[in-house]
Amino acid sequence: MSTVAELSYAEAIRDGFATAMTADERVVLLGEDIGVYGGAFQVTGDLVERFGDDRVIDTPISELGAAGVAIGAAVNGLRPVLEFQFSDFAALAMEQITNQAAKMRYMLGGAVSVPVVMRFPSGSGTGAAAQHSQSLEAWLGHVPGLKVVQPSTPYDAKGLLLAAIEDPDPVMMFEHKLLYKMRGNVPEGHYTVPIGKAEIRRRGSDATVVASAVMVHRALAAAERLAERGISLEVIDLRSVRPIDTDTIVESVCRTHRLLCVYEGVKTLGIGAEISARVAESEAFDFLDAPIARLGGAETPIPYNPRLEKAAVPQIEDIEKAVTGLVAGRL
Amino acid sequence: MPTEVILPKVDMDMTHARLVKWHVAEGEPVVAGDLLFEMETDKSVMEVEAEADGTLSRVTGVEGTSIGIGEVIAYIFAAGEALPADELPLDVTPADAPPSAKLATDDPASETSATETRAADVPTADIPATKPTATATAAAETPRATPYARRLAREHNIDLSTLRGSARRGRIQSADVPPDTAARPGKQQTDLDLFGQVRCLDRQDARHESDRSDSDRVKPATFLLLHGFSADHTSYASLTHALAGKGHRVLVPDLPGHGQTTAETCHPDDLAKPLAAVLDAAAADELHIVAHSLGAVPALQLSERYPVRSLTLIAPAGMSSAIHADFIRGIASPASVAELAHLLRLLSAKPDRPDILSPAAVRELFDSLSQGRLTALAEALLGEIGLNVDIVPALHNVAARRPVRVIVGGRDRIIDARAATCLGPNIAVHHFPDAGHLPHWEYPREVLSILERSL
Amino acid sequence: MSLSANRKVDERSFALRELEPRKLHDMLYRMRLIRRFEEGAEECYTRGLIHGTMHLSIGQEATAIGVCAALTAEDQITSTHRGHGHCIAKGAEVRLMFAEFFGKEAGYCRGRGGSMHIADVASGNLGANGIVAGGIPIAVGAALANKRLHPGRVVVSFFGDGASNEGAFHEALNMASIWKLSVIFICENNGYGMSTSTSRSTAVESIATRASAYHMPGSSVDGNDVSAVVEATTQAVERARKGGGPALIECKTYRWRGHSKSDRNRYRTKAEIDSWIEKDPIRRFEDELHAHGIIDEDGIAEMKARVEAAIAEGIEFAKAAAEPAIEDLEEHVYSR
Repeated sequence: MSTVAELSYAEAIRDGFATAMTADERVVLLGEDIGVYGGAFQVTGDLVERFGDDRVIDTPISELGAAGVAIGAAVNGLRPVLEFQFSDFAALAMEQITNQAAKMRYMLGGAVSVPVVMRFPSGSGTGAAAQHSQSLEAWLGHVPGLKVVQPSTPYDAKGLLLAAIEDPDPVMMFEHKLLYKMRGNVPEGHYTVPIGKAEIRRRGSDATVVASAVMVHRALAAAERLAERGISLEVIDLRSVRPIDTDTIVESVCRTHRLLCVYEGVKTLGIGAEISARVAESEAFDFLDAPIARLGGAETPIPYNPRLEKAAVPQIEDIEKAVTGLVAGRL
Repeated sequence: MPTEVILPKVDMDMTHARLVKWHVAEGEPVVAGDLLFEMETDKSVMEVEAEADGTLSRVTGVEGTSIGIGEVIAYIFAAGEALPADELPLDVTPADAPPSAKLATDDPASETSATETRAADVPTADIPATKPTATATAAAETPRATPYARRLAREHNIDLSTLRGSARRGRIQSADVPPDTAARPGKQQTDLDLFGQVRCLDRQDARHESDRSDSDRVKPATFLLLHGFSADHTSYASLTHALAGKGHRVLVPDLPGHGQTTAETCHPDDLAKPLAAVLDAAAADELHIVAHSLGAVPALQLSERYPVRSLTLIAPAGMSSAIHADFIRGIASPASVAELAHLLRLLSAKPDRPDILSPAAVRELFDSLSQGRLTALAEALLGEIGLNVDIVPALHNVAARRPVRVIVGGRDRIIDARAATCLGPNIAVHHFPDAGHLPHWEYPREVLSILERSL
Repeated sequence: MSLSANRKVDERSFALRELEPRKLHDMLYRMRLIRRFEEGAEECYTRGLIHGTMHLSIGQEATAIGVCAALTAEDQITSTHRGHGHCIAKGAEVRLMFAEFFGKEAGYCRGRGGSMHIADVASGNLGANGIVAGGIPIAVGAALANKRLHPGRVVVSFFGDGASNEGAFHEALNMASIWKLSVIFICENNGYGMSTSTSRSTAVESIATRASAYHMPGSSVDGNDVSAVVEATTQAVERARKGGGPALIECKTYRWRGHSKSDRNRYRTKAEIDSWIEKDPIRRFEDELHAHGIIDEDGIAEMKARVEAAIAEGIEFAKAAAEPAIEDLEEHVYSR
């Protein structure tokens, strides 16, 4: 019987690493300051003491090169996990991520696979401003050959990490910074959360909200407030940006007749746009009783000022207002 | 073997180039590396060198013309070389190089009509403006309603224009559709007359004054309208109404096994006999028979026994053995309303309006068909190779003595309409290219005017 | 060898001293195979049989063959967009390469990769790369994996002079050095990026000097001298296998053809090209072998005939091979 502990999101990931690295010699970690320093967000912690610095490897500040190294190591038999300090730095490594990792298997006609995992602390709310606060999952979600996940709870963080490490293809994991300290129940030992499967976090009947990362929690908080006013909100945690679990979303919208997508990435050309299109193309179209609505990040870089920073991404009140409008036919 | 001089491919998307200028003339000597000719591509002018030593000969590339990549435009003959006589056509293409026309289509990247393809790919729909445009006329015809509201309205047979929308822009949402509506039309249950074992609609209206025209006095005739497999007299509703309105007598029976007729049947040949009672009673002297689909079988039998003035077969079954067997079987015993609705859609040729019956009507039809009265008949109709019925000999028989015409739709998915083109010269064929299996539903006015020609 | 021969200094080149005649034959055969393959591919291209473009390595055969002669079958390489020579040198079959260029299912990459992404993983070629310097960090990563899983195995990273100006080159060499990985960096300096000469684009005269910035040995050799290349590579490989870490070897060579098929060669003179053609590395090596009795006229003729046959057969095989099925468009995007 496996025990369950209450861990933070960061601790859950660390626990996932320990589980994977104990079971499989091929798992190695790479990243800046992940060794003795313990990682910029204290995710890797003391792993270097437990597994040694030949398996918890500090890289120089070389995102592009390190990404290539992780990819080459994966092609040649290891299961590397590369930590980026901020998702914004993915931009430095885009060549290796999108031209190499995503495409090598296909270009070589299936002769190789690239079982690499890359992790990205993501999102705004810490005052880190424009170059350290972005949500770029849509950038990578756009690339065939990659898989992209966004766990929203400690349980999912460990489970998706383990699924990612075991996956033979490149998996990009976006971890919202505001969630690192969130606590939750995490089973000991090995388990996985399937990639490509969304989860209904709260059942409802008047509207469906599809949200990801920290927005899941804001949607759940909004659902509580709306319930007091007689509106029953269904909240779906997207979990996987590529592939998207269209079936779960469509089934839900067929029942509730209304859809709101909430995401932190910039609204235009973001994951909510994709979800909206998929629902409109599906049989759920005939059951829509209102236009599909989206709440996404503002069309600006993330500002430094805290009030502006908050205003730039959807908050609980925004979700409440949007759902009320949807249900009342005001949209 | 002499060395071929070809027009080389140098750019990824290149299919042709213009041969600008020869720098060596026919019959002159060349050395490998000499400048041989210049060609112009989309990108620039390129100099091409000779690849061998010898004499330039058999120059076929014409300056100023566009030549395909890989095409041989000349030869370089080393001393003592010659082409075998039968390999000296004027227009030489190397055996192992595909003709340039083929390359253009094989290589999508080299599509010179790329602009055409691109244009076709660009969707013509504009990105919707934030303000609604030109909605005034649209609103008059189609009310704003959510997809769900529309669905509910359709299911309950409610006209959307009778509802008021409570959502933004006056949009009708599901809350605006009354849940239980009294305005359900349902089918008119006309009491049909009984002729022997057959229930039959017998209708004749007084002719309107305005229909009369001095030069065009048409004597009232009698029309016997025979429906097809799984239908009933209502499938001729509009034609019945139109003919009756012109003063003709219209007899529309429910065939055995169908509608209100209680007599059963399990074979197509048995359909005609009970119908004879209708014609005996009618005693018409100006009788025209119109039959749809399977109705052609009893129609032909009756035409051999009774003095018909004309016979019109609409989408007749039995011109060939080709038949949509799944339709026959499925409609004889549909498993669900949804399956029946799906089958009925096969009858229509209009992709934007595929449903020929309202959902309520479909449900009623389902209730009636699920009694299973047609299963035996369906089995009798379908053999190993398809339809067990062959109307062609009888058709030609009748056509030898009476005017016979056939009306078919080019998009009929139940029978093979092309079989109509193999009928004998005595038979007039009216082809509706865009109609499905129900041309009299899709083009009622045109079918009516065809029928009136025999009057 | 007699005692008196021992007295004399063996003036033969490294290759002739250290390598078996059989191996030398094979090296010459493969150099000719590369040359004729490139010419055959070029001809197919100009006839419109090959889609896209290609980057020919005619004139650079000695580097590819010399480096790979110092490697075992288990050792690995990453290659460049000008990688047909590397692929053949590492042991690929020309028929499967032609099939790949013709876009056929039977090709090394099932028709999905083409010339710029040609690979033969079974013989240790982890793939050509369409991104300049794209393969260099990947080679370092492969070496990182080998350190744990296949100690003793060496990875060679081929790249050109232009790549040594990409950030990835610098990041990769730095990491290879700090982690002392068994990766040998081979820079084929043919004097030009696409059209930009090294003198206009590169701050240092010799790219080998960049090795010192990353604390690894760097050497510069005549890339058209097979033996010099074999010698330098063998030294570096042996040092790496003993745990001595990476090295950078600059092979100075020249490409006879333009960068790609659409290159008009406006950036260099015919005289320059001709002067390098005079120094044909194949003729040079063949003359050397001939002079030392390793091969005779008949052997050369027989070898040429074998090469012609292989190329002809390869092209016929590729022409006859089947196209991939459209329904399989999305296969191999993911493993599952």
